[in-house]
Amino acid sequence: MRDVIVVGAGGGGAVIAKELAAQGLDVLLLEAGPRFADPEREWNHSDSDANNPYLGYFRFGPADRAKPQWVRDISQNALFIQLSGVGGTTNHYQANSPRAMPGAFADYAGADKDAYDRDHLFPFAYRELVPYYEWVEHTLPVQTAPMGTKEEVFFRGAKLLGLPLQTTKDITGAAFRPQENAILQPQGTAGKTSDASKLRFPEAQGCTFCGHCTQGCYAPVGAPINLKAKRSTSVSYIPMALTCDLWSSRGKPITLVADAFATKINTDESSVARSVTWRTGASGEQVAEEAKVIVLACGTVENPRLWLNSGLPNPNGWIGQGLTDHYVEVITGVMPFDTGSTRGPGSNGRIDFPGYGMLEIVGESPGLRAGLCAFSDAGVAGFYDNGLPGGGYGADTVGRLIGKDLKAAMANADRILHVDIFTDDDVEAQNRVTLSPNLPPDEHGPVPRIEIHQRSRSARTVRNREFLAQQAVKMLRALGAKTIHRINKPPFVIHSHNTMRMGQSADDSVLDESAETRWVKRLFVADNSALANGLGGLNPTLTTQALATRSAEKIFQRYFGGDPWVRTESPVSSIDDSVTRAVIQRGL
Amino acid sequence: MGDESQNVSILRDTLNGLLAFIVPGPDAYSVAQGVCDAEPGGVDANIMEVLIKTLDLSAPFLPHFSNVVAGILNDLAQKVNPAAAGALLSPFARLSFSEKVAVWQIMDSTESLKSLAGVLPAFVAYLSYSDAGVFDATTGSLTGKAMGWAISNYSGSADGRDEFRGYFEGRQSREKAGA
Repeated sequence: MRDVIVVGAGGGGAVIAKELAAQGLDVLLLEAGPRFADPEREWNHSDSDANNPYLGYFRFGPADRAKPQWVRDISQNALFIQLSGVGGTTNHYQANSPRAMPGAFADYAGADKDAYDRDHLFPFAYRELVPYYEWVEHTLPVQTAPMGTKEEVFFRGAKLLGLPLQTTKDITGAAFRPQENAILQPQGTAGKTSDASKLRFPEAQGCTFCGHCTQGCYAPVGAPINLKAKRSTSVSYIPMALTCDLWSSRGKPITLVADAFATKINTDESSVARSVTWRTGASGEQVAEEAKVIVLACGTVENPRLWLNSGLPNPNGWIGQGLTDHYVEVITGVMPFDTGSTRGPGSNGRIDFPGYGMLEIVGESPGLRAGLCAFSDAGVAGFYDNGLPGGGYGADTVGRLIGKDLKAAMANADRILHVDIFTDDDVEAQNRVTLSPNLPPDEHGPVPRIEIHQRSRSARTVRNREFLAQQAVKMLRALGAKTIHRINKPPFVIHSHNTMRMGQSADDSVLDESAETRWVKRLFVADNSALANGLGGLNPTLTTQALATRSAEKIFQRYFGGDPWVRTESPVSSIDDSVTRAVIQRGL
Repeated sequence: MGDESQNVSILRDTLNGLLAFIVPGPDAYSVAQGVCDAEPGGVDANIMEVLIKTLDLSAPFLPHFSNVVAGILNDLAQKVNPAAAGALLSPFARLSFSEKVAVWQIMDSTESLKSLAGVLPAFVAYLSYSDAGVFDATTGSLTGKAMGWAISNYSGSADGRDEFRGYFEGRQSREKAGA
């Protein structure tokens, strides 16, 4: 019997596995997708080879790319962007790692407290989470982002809006700031040349500004796995977890099994979690193993699916309910000057509007951006609006860009400035994950159905997105944009949360404040689905990782008689020399 | 055999009409719709095969989904303008640009077609402006300059860029505590 089985090796599962293994527990970490052990060999800079959700190496599907992706029932105009594999969605994320809005927590008493989703707050105080933020920020590590051209332009725009600079990690008011990113700052030749022969480690260290975050980061070429620039868990927490015995005095390395799709959580007659059954993709073999504690970290879609397919209780109906996705929107400006939109990290600048959400400057290669410009819920720009409310606020077009409008907008990929909007959206039961009544089961059982009711979001959610859209248009106009396009997107789910939410009330939550499920003991959740709300519209990964660290302590205390460590010990950074020596010694 | 080959031709004809609709160029399909452009467009991006494969794999429970998509576009095209004439095989490809927009408006307002109406233009635009047309999966390298990269003046992929502009106000770290 294992001490702990963690199901899912993404942004949260890898963290809780490493933390518990560092305390000496015997941890088995299961991952449904590929291992991704050698990014330099398995990934490249191709936006088509990486990001095609059906054919690419970053898709939600099996390791064998000759097999089709795993099916979800999304019978609406929407895209749900997740990927399987060790590292999960952190492999293609942009590594933006802000702390949550304090207003999303139970203790918040600021003058603007009523601006937040007061019915769905975190069941503990913001200050309670800060030591765990600090622990994760040191471990990854999280650092203040440098600027490229697009950030210089963006910060100029933020000043034109009259906004101050946020100088602290904690958000204290409406302000702009360089991102706090889980990307190593550039050193040596990194960021100073495009000559590949000068960009090998150790001559180059940290971010090389290649502009390919979404294709997976393996820069600098030649660096040990734990010194890659972007701190996906596949290069930070996973290498640490696999070498715990070498850098921690009491650590025990985890067992990592990829290509293992969990299909059932088995409980005893007292509703206590006892074992996990999974299917090995290559052979189709069913395997089961027992553990003292089981942690779900399969993501916001697969956690509720696994729960429901396991026949576990759902007395209040909140398994899978309350999905928030930040009601994403995109405003694109065509500028009369170079913006460097395709160069540098995905996003190194942001503006936070507490109570509303945030704006991010975002850049990437032209394929992804053109696709996003043509993805709308508001009809074809200039022809019809699909009856969708939402003002242009001075934008030249609203809706899907196609034809000559798309070509004009994309005529120079480095003269466009894309502002992505992430809304502080309400937890609403109507937005949810269930089992599909439409599609047949696959080899893992009934498939999940995702529903997001885009046209009937709460008044506060709609108001927030409109406010942010207005601010983005105003900023682009002030910067001198030649044309501005509001896309008015359908659900474009790159942040998803809350489908197994923790909460203050047992009536509308699945988890208690320790992230243990209310109805099955010894079963915890440690990914974005555990979050109580959408964090005020902020990138979720850091908070999920801090919460997973806190949950690791709860598990260790409650079921293994151990003591907490975050407030009494110092974290080891994943780029520490001891970890580098360990990964080299172990041949990772 | 004759029917199969005609199906293949209609499929490709329809998808070329779609590529021209989303990213027009100087090709015959763009000319036929009355909206064309001197610079190359989707038809010239060499992405037909990957588009068909992407469509087919987007709904693995429906065999040959690309044919289903082409059928939907052609059925709606005949409703929008049954008299559309021309040398092209596909009724959708024979439509004018504004008639194609009318097809999309029907899809956008038909519950069962809303998903397709939303994601199809996104995928066509994504593939047109990506390196899909020149990516060699066997070597993992590019065989030439992608059309979409050329028309967007993209410098192409690289291991790094000369783009580091320092730190805002020289601040290389942030204070831990808030107010």
